Amino acid sequence: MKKYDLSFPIFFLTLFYLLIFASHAHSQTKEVDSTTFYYNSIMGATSKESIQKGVVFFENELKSNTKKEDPHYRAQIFDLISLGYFNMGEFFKSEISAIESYKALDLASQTTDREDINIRLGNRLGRLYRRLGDDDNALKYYKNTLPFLSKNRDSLILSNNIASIHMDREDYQKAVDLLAPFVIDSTSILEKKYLATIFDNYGYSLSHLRPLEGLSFMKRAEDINKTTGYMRGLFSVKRHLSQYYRNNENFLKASKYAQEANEIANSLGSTTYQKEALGLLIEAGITTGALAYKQLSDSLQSVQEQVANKYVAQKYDYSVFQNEAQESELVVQKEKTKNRFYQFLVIFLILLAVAVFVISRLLNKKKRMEEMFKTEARFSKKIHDEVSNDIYKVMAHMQSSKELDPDLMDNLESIYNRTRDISRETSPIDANKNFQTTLSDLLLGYQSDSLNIVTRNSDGVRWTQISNEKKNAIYRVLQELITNTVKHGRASLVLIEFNQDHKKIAIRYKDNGIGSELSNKNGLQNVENRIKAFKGTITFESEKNKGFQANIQM
Amino acid sequence: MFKKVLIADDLVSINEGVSHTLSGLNIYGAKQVTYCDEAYLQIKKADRDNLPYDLLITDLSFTADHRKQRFSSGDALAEVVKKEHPEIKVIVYSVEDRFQRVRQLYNDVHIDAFVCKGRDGITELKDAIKTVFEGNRYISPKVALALSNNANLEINEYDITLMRLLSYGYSQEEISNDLKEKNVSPSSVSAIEKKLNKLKIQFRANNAIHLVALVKDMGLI
Repeated sequence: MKKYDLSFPIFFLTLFYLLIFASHAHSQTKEVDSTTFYYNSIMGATSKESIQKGVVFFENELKSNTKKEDPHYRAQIFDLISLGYFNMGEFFKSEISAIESYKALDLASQTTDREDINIRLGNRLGRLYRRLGDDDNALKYYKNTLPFLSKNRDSLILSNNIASIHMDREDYQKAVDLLAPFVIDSTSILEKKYLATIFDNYGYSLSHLRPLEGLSFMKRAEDINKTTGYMRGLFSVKRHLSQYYRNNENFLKASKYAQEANEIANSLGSTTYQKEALGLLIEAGITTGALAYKQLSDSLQSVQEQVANKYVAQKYDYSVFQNEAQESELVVQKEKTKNRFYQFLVIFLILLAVAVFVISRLLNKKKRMEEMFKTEARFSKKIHDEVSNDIYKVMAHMQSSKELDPDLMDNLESIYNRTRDISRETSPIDANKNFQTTLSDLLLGYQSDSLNIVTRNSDGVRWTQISNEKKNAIYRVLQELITNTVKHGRASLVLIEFNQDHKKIAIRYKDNGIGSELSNKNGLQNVENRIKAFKGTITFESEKNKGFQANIQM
Repeated sequence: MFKKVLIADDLVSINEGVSHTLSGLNIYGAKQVTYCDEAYLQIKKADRDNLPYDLLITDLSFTADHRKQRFSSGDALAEVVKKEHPEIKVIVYSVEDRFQRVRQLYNDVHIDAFVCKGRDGITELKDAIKTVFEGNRYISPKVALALSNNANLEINEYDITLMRLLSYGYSQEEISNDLKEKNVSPSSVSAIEKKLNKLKIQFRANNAIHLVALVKDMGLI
């Protein structure tokens, strides 16, 4: 019952546009023929296709025309494009163009048509928001535009538009206040159509405040429309009258006017009007049209839904457009930030990978060495407990028998001793014991009738500062060097000199044996590997008959 | 000679070999056991029956099996026997030759003898039994060095100085004078002579000239 936007603003404002554009159009159109053509295609609003072509033409003009940088020119073209979109029902695009036009207008120097453009844009945006159901924004633009209007007729149309919003909101006092000046000055309104519309709206609004006064204005409007034969105006008045009577519980008259409105609607062939009229009839208590009303209502609903969907799509287009604009501004910045983030990420990952690699290597190395020691210890015990003992068992058995073969016994003893040596070389050292004692026990073990071992400064090393792993390595290295001397050196003397520099230990190992051709004998290879494991160094010196020397730093 | 002997070794053949050796020493009827716990119980039982053992001959390493043992090694057995029955003599007869372990048993547990199993094992064991019976202690020559002082290996700055002076062709008197001038002690001729003799042994030198040649070769002076 409050759907005014269906009847008034549409036809009113189409006219309104033509009027305001009239003068402006001529100054524009003389320049280029195609411009004139497309201008007319938009202004004429003959078909959607022609409007579309016009819009495309002017959008291209904005990119290519020599005046494309001129704010005034841009304001005019954007205004035109906005109108084109508006007439095509693409309200969001229309809104965007309108706002572009506003922006350009702000930059433009003072021109004669500045006000005209302002009015057009303000009114268009007002209508646009009203169509989109945003009455607050619509009111805002209408009211901003109103002061610019110098022509009485223009301000009348706009005021009427504003009044229709007030009426929608049942804010009848405001509508009355707004329209009252025009009613008072009604003699100056020459066009009967406008006069009837003013009386109609004013009367209907007033009827809520002072019913009889309002009714008389509506009657006047009815009379004017009857004489001029303006059917849409007449429909509106009949509708208002029906509503008026229904509100005053005069259902007989209400249904009468509703019936008349229905007839007009039928003659106009407009489903929207027909539905409205049927609605009035039902409200007035005549239910015979209820089924038709429902059918119309349903079909209209689906149309509205389609329109709504279109809006949604447009809204989406709009947001995409907006996002694109923002994105294009932000894109560079975002890319930079993104790049920087990835750079940091890559660097971080590389550092992390390196750290993990290094740590895992260190851990692995330590683990491997521990594993090695454990394995050595296990083998040592196995050889000691199983092989040595078994050989000894055989020897003991033979010793207790009557016939003793000395050669066999010698061989057995040699095998026995060798298993003992292997066991000894690989047996774990007790790191908790005093290392100097452990070391001297090792050396004493090799001391024999044919070999003396001399140490120098072995008590000058603070062994407690040295890691167990390193001590173990030193022990093994010396063990292997002495074994090497015993096996190959034919030396009578071994000297081992120690020196300590902080955590580094320097050892000089020297024998007075026959010396030897240095080759990678297995024992010495093991020595090198053990020292390398601690990033230590070892150098060998050997000369025929000058003994063997090894300098170790670790 | 010992009358009542207990042999603990997890290898029966060795037990028999030892038994055979003992019979050579007119010791008969030695009890053989293969577990330390068993040996301990035998000793306790004999003590209660008032027929105590005189001698325990034990190995060190006993292979562990399913039987849970209170004493898992000869070390533990020797220790507890020496503690609870100090009158029983204990001889360790083992393949063990690590000085540390030998020293610990000899010095701390106070075993009476340590004999290395080996080619001469049986002979040494005989000597050990005789020695222990006479009230002395015995240690196989092979591991005897375990009891020596590690200072026997080490040479110090005094030794080096002495040998350097010797290499100059100094007589012992001249060395003594030189040391006195430098306020190094000991500087008496007799002390120097003693020290040089010790160094000759340490370096396996036949005489002073040989000693100097050796230490020069070794790069000590």
